Amino acid sequence: MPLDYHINRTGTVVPSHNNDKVNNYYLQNVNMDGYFLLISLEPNQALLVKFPDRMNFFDRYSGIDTGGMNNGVLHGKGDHYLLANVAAALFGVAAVLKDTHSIHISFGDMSADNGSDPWSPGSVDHAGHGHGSRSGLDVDFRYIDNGGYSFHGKMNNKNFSKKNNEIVYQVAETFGFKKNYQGKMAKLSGIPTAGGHDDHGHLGFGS
Amino acid sequence: MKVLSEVLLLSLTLFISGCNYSNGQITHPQKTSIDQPSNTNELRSKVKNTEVQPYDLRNSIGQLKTTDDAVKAGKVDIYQKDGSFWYSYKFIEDNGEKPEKNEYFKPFRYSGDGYIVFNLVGESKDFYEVVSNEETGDKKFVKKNSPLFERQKWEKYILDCYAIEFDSDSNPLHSSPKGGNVVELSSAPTLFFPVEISGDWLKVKWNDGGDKSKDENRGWVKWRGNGQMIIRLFETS
Ligand SMILES: [Zn+2]
Repeated sequence: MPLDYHINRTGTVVPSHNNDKVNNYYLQNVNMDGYFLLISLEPNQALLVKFPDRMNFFDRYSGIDTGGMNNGVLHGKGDHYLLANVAAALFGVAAVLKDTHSIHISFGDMSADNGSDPWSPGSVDHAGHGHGSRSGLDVDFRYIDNGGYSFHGKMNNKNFSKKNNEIVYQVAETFGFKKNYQGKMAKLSGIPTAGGHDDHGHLGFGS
Repeated sequence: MKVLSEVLLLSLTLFISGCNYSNGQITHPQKTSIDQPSNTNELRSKVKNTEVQPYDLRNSIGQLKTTDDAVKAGKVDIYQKDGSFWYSYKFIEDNGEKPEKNEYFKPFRYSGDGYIVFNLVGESKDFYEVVSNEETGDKKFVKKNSPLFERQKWEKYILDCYAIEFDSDSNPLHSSPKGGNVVELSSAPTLFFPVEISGDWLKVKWNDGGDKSKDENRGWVKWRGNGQMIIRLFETS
C-alpha cells in the first residue's frame, strides 16, 4: 500500500498510509514549521521508485544504464531506482546538504528498474546496488569540491574538499545511511575505506 | 518441427544459462565448471557458487587504461594498423552528450563516464596494440606518446577492485599460495576482498556470513589458471 512520507530535516522520516496509487513525499520546509509536497512517485513491479534525475537541490551524473545480460544476470534498465523509504531518506539528505550546508550533490548509480545492479555493456560491475542481497539500498555520489558542488574526479584532486565530503557522510548517516565507503586514498576521517571508490562515494542504507 | 526444435533449443539454453528472474528477484545460476582441481579428493568449500566467465590472458602483456587527463581532454583517439586514424571515443559531457556510437568498439571496460581499459596485446616503437572489440577479438592501436593512456598490470587492476567472486567447485579457497589445505567456510560469505597477489594466487579476506563484527578470515584463491583469469571482478561496491 502506498505511503505518505514526512521527511524531517533532523533525519527522521515518518511514513503513514494513504489511499493513493503513489507515494507522496512531504519535505519539511527550511524553517522546520511545516511540510510541502515535494514529489509523488509510483512504485513499479519490483516495488522500487524511480528517484528523479534532478530537482533544484540535486542532480545526477553519467549516462543512464541500458541493462542487459552479463555473467548470467539480467540487469534491468536504468540506474536510479530505490526502495520508497530509501528515496525519502535521500531526498532528506540532499535537501539538508543544499539548504544547511550549501552543498549541491550529484548522484550516480542506485539500482536498475528490476532491482538488479545497474549495468551497461562495457561498464564495471557493482558488488552491491542489487547484486547480492542489497537492492534499492545503495547510492553513489560524486565527491564534493571546495565550492560545494560534486565534481568529476578523484579524492586526490586539488579541488576535493575534506570538509564538504565529511559533511555528506555525516548528514547521510543521520538519515539512516550507515554502510558507507570512501576510496582507499582515505582522505576522510571516520569513513570505512574500500577499493573502487577513489572517484565516487558510496552510501548504503541500513546499519 | 523446426519451430519445435527452436523452442526446445531455447528452453535448453534458458535451462543451461539458469538465470532465474521473477518479481524483481534475481537468483544466481548454477555454474559450469572451468577447471577441475587436480586432487579430486579435496574437500569442497561451502562457498555459494558463482558464475565466472574465464577471460583469456594468454596473449596479454597487461592493460592500457585512460589517465585522469583523458576525461579533461574529452576524447581519446584510436588508430588502425597502418597508423591512420580510426575512431575518437568521446566521454559524456555533463550536458549529457553521448559518445558517437561505434558498434565495433567494445574494449574490456569502457564508459562515457570517463574510462577505457584495454587488454594490451602488443607494442611497436610508436604504438600499443590493444583488443578493441572483445566479442570479435579485433585489435586497434594507440599512440605510445599519448599522455591520455598508461600501462597497468592485471594484478594492480584486480587489487584495486572492491571485491571478487570465484567458482568454489573448480577453484576452492586454500590456506596458502602453494596450495595448502582447502579452507572450509562455516557459512557462505557475501563478498571476498582482494588483499595481495603472489603469482597466480590472490589472497582474499572475508567476514563470516558477511558480518563485519565477526573475525576477519584470510585465504588464497587462484586468479589465473591455464592463462585464463578465473575470478569475477566487482570493481566497485
Ligand atoms: Zn556504490
